[in-house]
Amino acid sequence: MALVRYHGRLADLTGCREEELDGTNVSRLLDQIKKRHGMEAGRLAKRSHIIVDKRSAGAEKGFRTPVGPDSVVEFIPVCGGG
Amino acid sequence: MILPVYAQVDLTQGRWRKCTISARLFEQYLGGKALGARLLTDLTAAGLDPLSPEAVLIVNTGPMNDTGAPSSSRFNMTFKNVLTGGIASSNCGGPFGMLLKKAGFDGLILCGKAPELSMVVVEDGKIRIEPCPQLQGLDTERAQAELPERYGKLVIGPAGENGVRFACAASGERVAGRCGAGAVMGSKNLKAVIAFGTREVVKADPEGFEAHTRKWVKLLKKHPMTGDSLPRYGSAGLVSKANASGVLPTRNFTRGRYEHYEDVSGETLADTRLTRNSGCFSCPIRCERRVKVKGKEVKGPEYETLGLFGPNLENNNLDLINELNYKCDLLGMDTISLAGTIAFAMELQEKGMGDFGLKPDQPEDLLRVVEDVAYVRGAAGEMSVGSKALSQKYGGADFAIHSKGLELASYEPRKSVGMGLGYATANRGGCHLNGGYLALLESVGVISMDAQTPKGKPELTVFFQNGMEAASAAGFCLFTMQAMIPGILFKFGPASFACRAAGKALLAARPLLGQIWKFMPWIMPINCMLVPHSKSIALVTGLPMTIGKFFTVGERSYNVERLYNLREGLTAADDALPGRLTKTPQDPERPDTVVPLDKMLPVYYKVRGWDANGVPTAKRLKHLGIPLPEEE
Repeated sequence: MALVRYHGRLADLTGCREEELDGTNVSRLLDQIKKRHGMEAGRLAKRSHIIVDKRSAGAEKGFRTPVGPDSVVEFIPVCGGG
Repeated sequence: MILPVYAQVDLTQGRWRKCTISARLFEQYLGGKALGARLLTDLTAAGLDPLSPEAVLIVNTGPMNDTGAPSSSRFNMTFKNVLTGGIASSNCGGPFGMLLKKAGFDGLILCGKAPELSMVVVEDGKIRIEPCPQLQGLDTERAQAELPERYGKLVIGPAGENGVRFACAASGERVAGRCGAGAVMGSKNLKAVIAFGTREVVKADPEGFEAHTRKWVKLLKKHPMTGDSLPRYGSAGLVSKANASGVLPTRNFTRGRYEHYEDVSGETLADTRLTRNSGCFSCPIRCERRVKVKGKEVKGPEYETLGLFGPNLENNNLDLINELNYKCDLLGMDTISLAGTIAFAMELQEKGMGDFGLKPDQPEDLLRVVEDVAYVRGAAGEMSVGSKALSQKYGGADFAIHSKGLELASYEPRKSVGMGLGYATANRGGCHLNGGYLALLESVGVISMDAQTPKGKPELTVFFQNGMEAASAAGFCLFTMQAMIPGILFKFGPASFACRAAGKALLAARPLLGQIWKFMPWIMPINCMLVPHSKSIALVTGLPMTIGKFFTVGERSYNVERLYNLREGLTAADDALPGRLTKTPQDPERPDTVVPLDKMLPVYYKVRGWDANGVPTAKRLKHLGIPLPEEE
């Protein structure tokens, strides 16, 4: 089971800061999140920065980035600034 | 066309005179930092001490200030950089700019030195200089409270009076933070400039402007960045992603990740400390954090302050960071340069190369340190000169984290190499915004781009440097530029094919991006909502402004600033970063986690139309309508 960590509004929507989820890639984890916590949480998770084992899924294989049983997956809100 | 009106104020003689900017200069430079750079070059001789009476301080607005255009309340201070010896511009969203314009002036050109501590009073088209001994030693909050309420105020704190090289100037709770504007004011015995008036900006097409503004505000409010994440988390929201990307500077830029980052993240700030968000005049974004310090509601820290007073000093005490931020504002010091210098001094001390009385195991002691720096007292007072001067005295140049003398902002560039190029080439020194802010594309934004490749980074850096330069010249907040990223990408998410493809497409567009400057402004002779700034400027000023001309203002400004730097003795050798960032990989197992400046700089110079030594060519200057230095 991968350890999934939520930041920002997603932590509020899911009601937890972290949980363990089953899934072999990011897409499967997103399905799990949607199933467990509802459409809005699933939508927000998909729109987040998704970090798998300290590497951005965007820089890897996107939603097909593999997730291992010991992986740590973080969902971080997209922010701006400077 | 209504031309900008400036006042030249001689503080030594106590005299002033009005002058009007020519139509040609107005069209070429608009105002703000661009016009400031032109005027500073024209009005000063080379080689002046930035703190001498002969040095000139320009405080000016852009054509958009006080028009009601979105996020257009930024005013500018241009002067010789106290830390780098090159050009300095510092930008502030406080109310002073708007009231300066209402008082009948678009800018002030201040020179000389008042015989005693004084303030300049600008009121309804008139100016007077008054002694203000009663303000001596007051912090920025108390000094402003002592002045009549109706005025827009620009003041310095004790740090400026004491000549701290990174002293800032404050207007309301906002500061013109970087490069030592406060020290320049202090050197002129100038404690404050205050302005009041009731004049309204005359717009060329008021109806058209109102309609365009409504459309633009709607766009900003709808955009996920300016309408949701910035109001919700402020720039502080970047901490978590910066950490995940390895760009959160930790322990004087030795690492890019901090194990306790969540303690100081924007989400934690929003959940546990935020009282409300706020913003500058006419800004629909409202990114400002409001927090409580000792029971009093004050302006909260931005990302830069969180990163540099937090992880970069290995300090995870958020309340302490809030207090340090407030204290720096009161004393009148730039949090970026101060925190960067403290981190450097801590490492010097740890290595036995100097003793600054720092206590790394007692973060609360930083409150005492900050005060000692502002009053230039004790061992900590030595830090008032900044990292570069400190490294010249004590050594450690390889880990003095600055470029040209200005401390780097809170992005560790070894995992965002384009940001590294921006730091190295920014005319005012190690600045993320003046540097083009590629970290937004490479590391912290919605677009997923290869952060380590040097390919395409010079072309993108030039593009964004010029765009942000132009926005600043007009008086716009740079955050308005972030809405240029199509909102639809946020719906797909950074891991989506669309965001990954956008990153690849931007890098692949480098041949085009590298060539467009030869054909600006003719290739974009239009206005559209992708860059709403240009149409807004056209509707207010009546200038035939287009997107192409808007970007050309930025390019022209960047070149004038570069020429100023060259005139003052800076060279291509100063387009540099400390050895830690160019020679030592952040990740020892990945040799590519350094900033490959040697690969990027030659391409950058070529795209800019500069020669191999980073000197603008006569051909490019002619194209931009900039007089050659020998012709001036």
